[in-house]
Amino acid sequence: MNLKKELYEATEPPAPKDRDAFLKALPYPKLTYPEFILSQIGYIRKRMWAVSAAVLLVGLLAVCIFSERSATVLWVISSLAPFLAVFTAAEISRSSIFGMSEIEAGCRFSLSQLAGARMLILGVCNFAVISVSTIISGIFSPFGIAMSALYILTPYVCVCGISLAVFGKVRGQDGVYISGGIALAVSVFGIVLFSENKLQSSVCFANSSEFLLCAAGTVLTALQIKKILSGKDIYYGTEN
Amino acid sequence: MAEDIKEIYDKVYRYCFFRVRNSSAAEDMTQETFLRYFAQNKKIKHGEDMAYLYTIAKNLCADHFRKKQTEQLSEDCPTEGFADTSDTKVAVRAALEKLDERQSEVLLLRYISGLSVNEAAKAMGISRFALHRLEQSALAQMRKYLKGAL
Repeated sequence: MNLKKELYEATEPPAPKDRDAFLKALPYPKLTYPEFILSQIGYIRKRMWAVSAAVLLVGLLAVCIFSERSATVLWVISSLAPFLAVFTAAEISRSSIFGMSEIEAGCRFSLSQLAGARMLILGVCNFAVISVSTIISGIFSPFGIAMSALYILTPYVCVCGISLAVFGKVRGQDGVYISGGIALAVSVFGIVLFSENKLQSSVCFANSSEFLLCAAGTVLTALQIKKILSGKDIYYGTEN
Repeated sequence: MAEDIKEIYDKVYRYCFFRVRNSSAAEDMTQETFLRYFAQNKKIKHGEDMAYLYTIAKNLCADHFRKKQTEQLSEDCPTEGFADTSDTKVAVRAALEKLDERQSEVLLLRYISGLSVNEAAKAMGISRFALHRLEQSALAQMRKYLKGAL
């Protein structure tokens, strides 16, 4: 006999009659949406914040090293953007299980809202990092803020869109490795193909191709986000 | 709120019902527990908050019996009100009745209300180690009673 199970079953009381009416009328302060979003900050891994800080620090370091107005500042920041995107995509696609609290929160707020809250937090964080990086690059490189934004955003949105698609299809560590490989490839591709000299000699060509890539990446990212928010592509595994 | 409030309500109700054996009184106490709790707190979290809820419920049950002592109590059947009346379940309930108050309390909190070791220890005001020992002795005692009954 399973005594613990028997104990539970033997003491089954009659169903409470007024529970729902009482709880509906109970004026307890329910968790508001802003509180829910703030509670989700605690579940984002420290490495995500570390990567965001590292992108900013490396950008500042590049400014210090290449003190003259140099395109290198832009390329350093631009080559790091894909890695920021991979970490963001991985963070959106995962659920670290420490006490299952976020899943419990998901029971009240739905998985789409949970994913939406996480995307909002990471989006705000990344927006801040990219904005500061763009301003740094715009000031300390010869390209200005608009072009710097384009060259930093392009690898970011491309890798973000591809990584979200990868995490939707490939679960766990495999997804991280594939996305990491893609980020590395995009980063190297950016450095090699659009080197400083090449860019300066064909600014118009680079601008138009970058713009097209950026638009494609944005569309891909938007489609993936839509898919996640519709609840079709949320994976809550135990990857750690 | 970390856990669905309906689930917490059911757990507290189950606890109160086992104590008072009357669904109306148990439900009144459960609701009173919630009202008292939310008069001082904003949210229910696991750990100390759950222990606090059970402490309120326990005190309300004690108050209920204190008031009842002034009245002439009829000899109630110990299994009155429970849904399942099969032989095994009746024997389990009877064995639970025979335990001393602390032993039945630990089983009530751990297996009937489903509290964690930490929560139950806090609700009873004892250490985890003491709770573990008490739980083991209660289970052993239960097995002993059931061996004779079944």
